[in-house]
Amino acid sequence: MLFHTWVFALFLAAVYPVYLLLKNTRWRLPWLLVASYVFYGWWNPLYLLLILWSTGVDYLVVLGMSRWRRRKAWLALSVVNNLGLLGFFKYGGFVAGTLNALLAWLGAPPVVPEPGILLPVGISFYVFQSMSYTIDYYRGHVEKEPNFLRYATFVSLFPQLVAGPIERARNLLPQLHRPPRIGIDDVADGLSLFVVGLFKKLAMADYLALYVDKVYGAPAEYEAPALALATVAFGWQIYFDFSGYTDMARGVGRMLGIRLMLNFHHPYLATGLGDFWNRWHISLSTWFRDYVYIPLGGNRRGEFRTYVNMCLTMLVSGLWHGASWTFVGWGAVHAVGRVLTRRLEATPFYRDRVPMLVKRVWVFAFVTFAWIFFRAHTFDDALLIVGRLARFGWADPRFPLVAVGLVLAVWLYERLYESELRRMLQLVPVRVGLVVLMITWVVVFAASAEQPFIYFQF
Amino acid sequence: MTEPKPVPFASNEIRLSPGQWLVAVAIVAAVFVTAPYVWTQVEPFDPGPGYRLPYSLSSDYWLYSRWCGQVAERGATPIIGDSVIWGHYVDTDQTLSHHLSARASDCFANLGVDGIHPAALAGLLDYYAGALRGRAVVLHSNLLWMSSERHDLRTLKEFAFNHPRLVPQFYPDIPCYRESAAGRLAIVIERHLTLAGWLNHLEAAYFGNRSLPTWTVDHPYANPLGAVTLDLPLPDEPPSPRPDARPWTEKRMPPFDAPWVTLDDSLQWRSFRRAVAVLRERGNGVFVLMGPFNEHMLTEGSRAVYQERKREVGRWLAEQGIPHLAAAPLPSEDYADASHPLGRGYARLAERLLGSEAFRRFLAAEAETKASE
Repeated sequence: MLFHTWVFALFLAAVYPVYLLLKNTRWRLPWLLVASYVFYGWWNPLYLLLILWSTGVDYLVVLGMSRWRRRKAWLALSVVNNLGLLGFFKYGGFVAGTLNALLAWLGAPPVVPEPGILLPVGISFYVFQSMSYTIDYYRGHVEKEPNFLRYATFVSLFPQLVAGPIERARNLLPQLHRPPRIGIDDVADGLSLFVVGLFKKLAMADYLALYVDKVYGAPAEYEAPALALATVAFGWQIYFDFSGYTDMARGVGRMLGIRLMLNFHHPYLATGLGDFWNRWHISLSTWFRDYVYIPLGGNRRGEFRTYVNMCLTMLVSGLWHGASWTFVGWGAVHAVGRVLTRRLEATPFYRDRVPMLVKRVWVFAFVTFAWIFFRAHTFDDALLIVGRLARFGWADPRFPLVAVGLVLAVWLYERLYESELRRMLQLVPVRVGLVVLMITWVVVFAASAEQPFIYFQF
Repeated sequence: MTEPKPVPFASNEIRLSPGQWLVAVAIVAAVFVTAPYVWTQVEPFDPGPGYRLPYSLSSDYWLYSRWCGQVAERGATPIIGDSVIWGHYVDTDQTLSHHLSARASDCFANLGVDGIHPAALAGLLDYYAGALRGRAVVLHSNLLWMSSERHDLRTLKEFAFNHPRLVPQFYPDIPCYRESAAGRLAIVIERHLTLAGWLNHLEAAYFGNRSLPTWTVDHPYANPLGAVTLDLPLPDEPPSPRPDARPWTEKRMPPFDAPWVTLDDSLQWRSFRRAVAVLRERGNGVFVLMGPFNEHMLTEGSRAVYQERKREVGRWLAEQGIPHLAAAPLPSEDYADASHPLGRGYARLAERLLGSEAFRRFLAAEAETKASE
């Protein structure tokens, strides 16, 4: 069930009034849980077995940790169970394919059967969310949640279930403990967030996708200008797509009286690669920081280990995004970038002397370059695109000017937002006018109502 | 549990208060409600008596609705049907409505749509032909749509048929129609939104039946507003690919053995009856023209089954008290294929129709109604 479809509109129209009626009763959580399971089961009811399994095991693990010793063993059970689920459903085919390719390279026949299982939507998100609870409990950062219904609602809360933000128990569980305070302002705020997300998804991401898909579908047919523009367009597409989803999720959450975390904060205005990761998919970046980078030692074991830890974290992050070597390549490019620029970014020269615009352009160029590996269908395609870009061959890219205008308008808005002219954006006529424009644009110019979100595949 | 940290609202200033939302919604609603009506004042649409929906606008149901309104206003008698009525192989001055208008004192309007089949026609009448309320209409029945399970949309294998947005989306089930539940729901809702029809009209009339984003990708340096020339395609624009307007015998088309479906099992027949019901519920006087199917093109066994189906349809129409004409086959050389007459055939059909006592009585009743109005 996609947020930008009539099915979701009807779903919300059925769920929300009942939720408002039940919000101060003990039936609030069961209703939210049922709604969340209907939302998730809409893709495939069998997926519910998986989420129930993951939820049930982690709930019991924390109970086990609270009652018996050997807390580490319980934690290991949770980690193995969650990563096992992820490994089997997400990476089974990738591992089998890689092993078979290796065998073929050695001249042996393929012997590892490929599972051929469809990746359950959102598994990477809810598995990480559930696992963070057991780790946080182990570390003493959260209290045990005794109520299974509440815990299950925390794992499966429908606005953020399939593509985040990956919420932490310490933010979300307390909100499920008390009846929500929902005023008319919350509904208005929720609508504001939702409309911005809808605009980002339908007017921007799906539009840019038309060009990106065409070029990346057959990169050998295009020269450097088209490949460069398609890569830049993809950078904006994935930003609008994912941050649009998050905005809609946060908007629906707000209407339910639940505050979900900010997941994107103008990442393309970042002035360093470290800054970029503080602004891009914040819930995942902080997850990897807290549960991978810091346990590996973080920056506490000397400079060399810090770099090793950073590289490992980036590679794992790449692999989290997809079971393919292109994603590992994307993580590797970012790892190299971070290693090369970490010290530079900390120098007074870079901080104070390099003009802001230069820093922003450099970060945007680097991040955009890395997207090549993220978007290309195969590693060979990615290398072909890099090769063509380096060759500077000319052919008319035929990139739609309307798309250029749209992206520039959004970029300009973001620049204004981060400048001293921000108060102009706060004027009531400007805000109302922008909402009217966005809704009109979405209705008149929407590319398609059924393009799934890119991050659903992760 | 500890209190969670305060969460920033967003990384933008687009945050409206409830009152501001009311203003924004009111502006948007006013724009969306008025735009299609304002557009009818802006876009010239003055179809002559021989007008038919241009081929490239076959799926422009908003324009069809507008055309229906004009027909009702002028008091012309609409002839509704598929490409046989539309005139797939002929120009506008050779269609059935043209020949009828030329031979009778009444004016007939071509409300055929190329490629439409009964399942879609029922939807077209239901959602887009409300302007014809109370008028006398001639409804064409083409049994070709019951000549096989595929024509009857009953095959299990999916295939792309015409006008899927007009067919029933949830019930009755059309096994060869695969569309997601979300897609079907969107279609059902958009049928009732004039705005959606108008936007579809803009795409059909000015952007080559493509969405605006797709059009800008195909015309990267063009100004989309510049494409809205307000010049609608002409009704004489031929179908694409241009049909071979020679008699079927010259084209060496072989006779065929149509595997007719039974009326009891036929989705298209049920749909035809729904189309009749929709019209009658709206107070339309209905005259049904059956055929004339190219019986010369059928094998002997198949022809016998066809004639049986024709009798069954005739019996049903008689039971319902619906005046009708089961047109006898035209000369073989008057057909371009299994069901489409050529220009000469339409002229002959018009003469037969006007010679039919039932049709003359139907027209007379219509004239009386008009006079009493």
